[in-house]
Amino acid sequence: MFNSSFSSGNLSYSERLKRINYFIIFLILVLFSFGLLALYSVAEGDFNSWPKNHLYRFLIGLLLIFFLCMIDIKLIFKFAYPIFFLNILVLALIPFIGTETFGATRWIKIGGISLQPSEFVKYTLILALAKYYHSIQDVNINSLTRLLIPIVFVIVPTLIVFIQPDLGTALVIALGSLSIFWAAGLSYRYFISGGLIGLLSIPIAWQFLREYQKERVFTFFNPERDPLGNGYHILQSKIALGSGGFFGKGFLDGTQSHLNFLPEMHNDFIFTMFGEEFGFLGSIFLIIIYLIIILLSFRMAIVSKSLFSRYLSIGVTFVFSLYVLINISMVMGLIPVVGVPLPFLSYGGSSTLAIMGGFGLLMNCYIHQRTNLEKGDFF
Amino acid sequence: MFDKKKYISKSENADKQISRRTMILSIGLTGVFALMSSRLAYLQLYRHRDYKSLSDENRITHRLIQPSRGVIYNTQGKPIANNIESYHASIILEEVSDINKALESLNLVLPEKQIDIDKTIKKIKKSKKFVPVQIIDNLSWDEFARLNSNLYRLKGVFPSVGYKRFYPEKDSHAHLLGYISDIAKEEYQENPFSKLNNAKSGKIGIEKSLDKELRGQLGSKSIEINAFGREIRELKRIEGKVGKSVQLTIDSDVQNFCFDLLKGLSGSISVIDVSTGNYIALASAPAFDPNKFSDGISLSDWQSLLSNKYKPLINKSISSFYPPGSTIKPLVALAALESGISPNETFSCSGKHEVEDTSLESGIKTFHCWKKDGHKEVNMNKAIKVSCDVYFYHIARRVGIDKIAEVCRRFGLGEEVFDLFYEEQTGIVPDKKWKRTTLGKKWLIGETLVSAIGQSYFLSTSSQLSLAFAQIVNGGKKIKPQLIYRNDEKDIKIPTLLAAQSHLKILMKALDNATNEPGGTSYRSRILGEKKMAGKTGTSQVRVITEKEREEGIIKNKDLPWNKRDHGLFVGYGPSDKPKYAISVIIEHGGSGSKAAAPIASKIFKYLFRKKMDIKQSVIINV
Repeated sequence: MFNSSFSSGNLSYSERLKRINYFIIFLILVLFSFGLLALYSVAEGDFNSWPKNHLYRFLIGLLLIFFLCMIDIKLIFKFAYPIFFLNILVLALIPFIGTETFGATRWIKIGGISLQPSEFVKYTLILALAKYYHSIQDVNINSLTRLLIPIVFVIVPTLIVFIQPDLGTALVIALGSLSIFWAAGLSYRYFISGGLIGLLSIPIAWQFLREYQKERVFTFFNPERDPLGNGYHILQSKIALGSGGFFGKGFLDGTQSHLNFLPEMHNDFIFTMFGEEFGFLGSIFLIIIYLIIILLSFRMAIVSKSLFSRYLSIGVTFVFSLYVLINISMVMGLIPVVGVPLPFLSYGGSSTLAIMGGFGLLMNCYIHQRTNLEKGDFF
Repeated sequence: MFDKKKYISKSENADKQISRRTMILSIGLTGVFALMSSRLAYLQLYRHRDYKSLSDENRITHRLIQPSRGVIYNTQGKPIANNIESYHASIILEEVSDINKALESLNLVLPEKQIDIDKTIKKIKKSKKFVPVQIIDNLSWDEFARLNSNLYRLKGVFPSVGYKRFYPEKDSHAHLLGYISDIAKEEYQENPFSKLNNAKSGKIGIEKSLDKELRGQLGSKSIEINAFGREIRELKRIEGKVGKSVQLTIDSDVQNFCFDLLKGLSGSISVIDVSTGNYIALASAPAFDPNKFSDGISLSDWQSLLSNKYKPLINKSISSFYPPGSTIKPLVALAALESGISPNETFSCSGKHEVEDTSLESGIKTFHCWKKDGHKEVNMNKAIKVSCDVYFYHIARRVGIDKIAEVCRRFGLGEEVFDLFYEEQTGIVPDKKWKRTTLGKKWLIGETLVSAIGQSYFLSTSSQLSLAFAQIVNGGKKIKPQLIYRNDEKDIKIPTLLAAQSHLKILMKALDNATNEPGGTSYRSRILGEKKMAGKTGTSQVRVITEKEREEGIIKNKDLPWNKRDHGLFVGYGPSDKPKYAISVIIEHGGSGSKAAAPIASKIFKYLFRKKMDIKQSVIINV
């Protein structure tokens, strides 16, 4: 089935290019096109504002995917920890060197480009965890001592992001890492007891939530509590989606969105805007494409030979699913509003780059599916 | 090798495990996606209708459109209440860069207005930033022009044009037309215009009584708004109905002439066309300028109107009632004629008339004639001409109060003349039944006597008296008094006759003599020339003259405080041979009728006889 050159690990660039899964790239392009349409509508038919920037970012993202495909997986494996630590370091330094927007310090400016390190840490954490579990594949991973390091890996970025404050990203970081534990074969006991500890720690975490975050949670459980304040956005979002009906109000004809009843239309609430204009038909189409990408990615994950590639691919795919799930559930009023963008549709630059970088890693693993990796030298 | 085998088998185990766990993950996520999709279907399909209507509620709002108020015309066809442009300065907050500066420069451009900057800013901040806020009302044309030419340095300030009610005749027509001002809380329920921001309603006069017709019907428009309430576009418009216009029978020239004659006095004049029943003047003094209410009257102006002892807010031709005094005598004489008393029958007047009264110590109650020495032998003609009280005491005793009251009511006393105004009063025509039911007491004979000279409980309005006289001199035809030209005029019925022609001729002869023969009460005010006036004076007392005062000499009117003086009345008609107009003049506390009221009536008749009547029926409505 596979020719012998696969096993060598040293692939030529042209071979790498050939082995890219172009169907996934095509699906990403489809999603991105929808994003461009939606942003064009948000911008009231002005291409030069959001849609143009979004296009640029996407092109950079595509370059990033191809760039990551061209790198040898051994290199990625080798630098997995340093990349993660560097990311943590930058994240930790944000309060001192970052810029503040809307009361939260999340961004860092590098040469005129604002980046959000917390978006990238979702993926670098996956890298680090994948390498860790790859490295300890011969020993009993269920011993508590072996669990100490990965838990520290997870807790440090999660806490930093949580106090920024950015509840949504912290949630994605923590939940995303679970996929590696799961794939590595950690006993079910840990997941069950971990879930219980998580539930029990909610009251403690509650103490650390900001007022506005608490408000959002209150509002989620009782939207009528404050229909003009915090409940307003989620109510308006539901109205927008619901009024869209089966076929939608038509491209550029969404009333809720164009009459400014929706918040953050270009960002977290872009699905609402899309659903209002393209209806159930458009929205379900979008959801199905996301699901296809996720399922295909999982399939791509399990064909890899090395555990590192598998863990990495599963982790990347799961983080991607979390973005989609949290964002869409949030705008439909299924979960509180936590501020997670919708991949390829939302306008966020860092998240687009991070997500596409994630797909780059996934693709790299796919390309190097026959490559064996050493167990590592760090631990 | 064993080790390696172990390694391989372990990695095979791991292989299987990862595959299994990835499968679980895939199935789990697919399940969550299915859940999400069903939520989407619930929102977009199952509850589509609910959310669609919520979305429409969100974006569509309804605004009311105020129709323009109907115009009131006079008989000449000229507007006497209409809507004129008013000029204002407005500000739109979002278009101003520095609000303090903008208002300061506005004060420089319009130094005479000097707006309070802090207060104005507070007012502006209350509204949405894209809504124009009116900051200066009622600019003069000159100020408005200056504002317009300085707009370049007043960024965010806009000149705006509105409408306000305007009364070109000002105070002379004030009571008749009334005025409009903010809708009162009590009106909220029944007046749909109360939903409007700045709507006003008629407060007195025609403006109030015909408010419903004049105001028209509200229109509405549906507009699309965005989340901030800004208007995006109009979706639907339902046109309202412009208020109906009305034309009054009032001749503004005559009205103004009458009003001018009342200058410095407190009283009223009503002028009626005896053949048509059209009132051509209905003046009341002192008055007020109704335009002040259109601009929003100041508190001090309003309080001075309320506290003025001459009561400028009251329409004295319909809302004030007075003892009719001697002006009632023609009707009492008519009652006598109808009761069979001959006009030639004479009674002797010694200046007083005595009636048995057991309740008094002397057993006798004395009723005086206005003339202390009496009028000697008096028949009906002379009694009316010289206004002999004793003659009327005699005939009243024979006729009885109920007959007198019946005649008075037949000629329109005791009921509303116009059936139009909220503020119109009916007065009182007393009789036995009236006293029993309202005061619960038995009628006394003495009250019959006093009633016969228009005192005691008798109370009439100026318009009632003019109507009564009009019906005496027009051949006894019953009149439907009018102020507004109506469509239903056409069905002319055979007029109802109120009295025998022979009786009316006797009365008219006597009234003619009262003015045009020496010795008549209004002889001094007679008109020389072809067309003459005729009429009856009346002096109604507002205080009781005691016996003691009669002995010591009655205090002259001018020595009494204003509000204790007699009311002067004159009710007459002209030309005397071919009556066209009837007029009543009432001067409150003005002294005797012959001195205070008759000369005024005389001037009006002279004016009317000269004037060319100018009637242009332009608007006739069904009200």
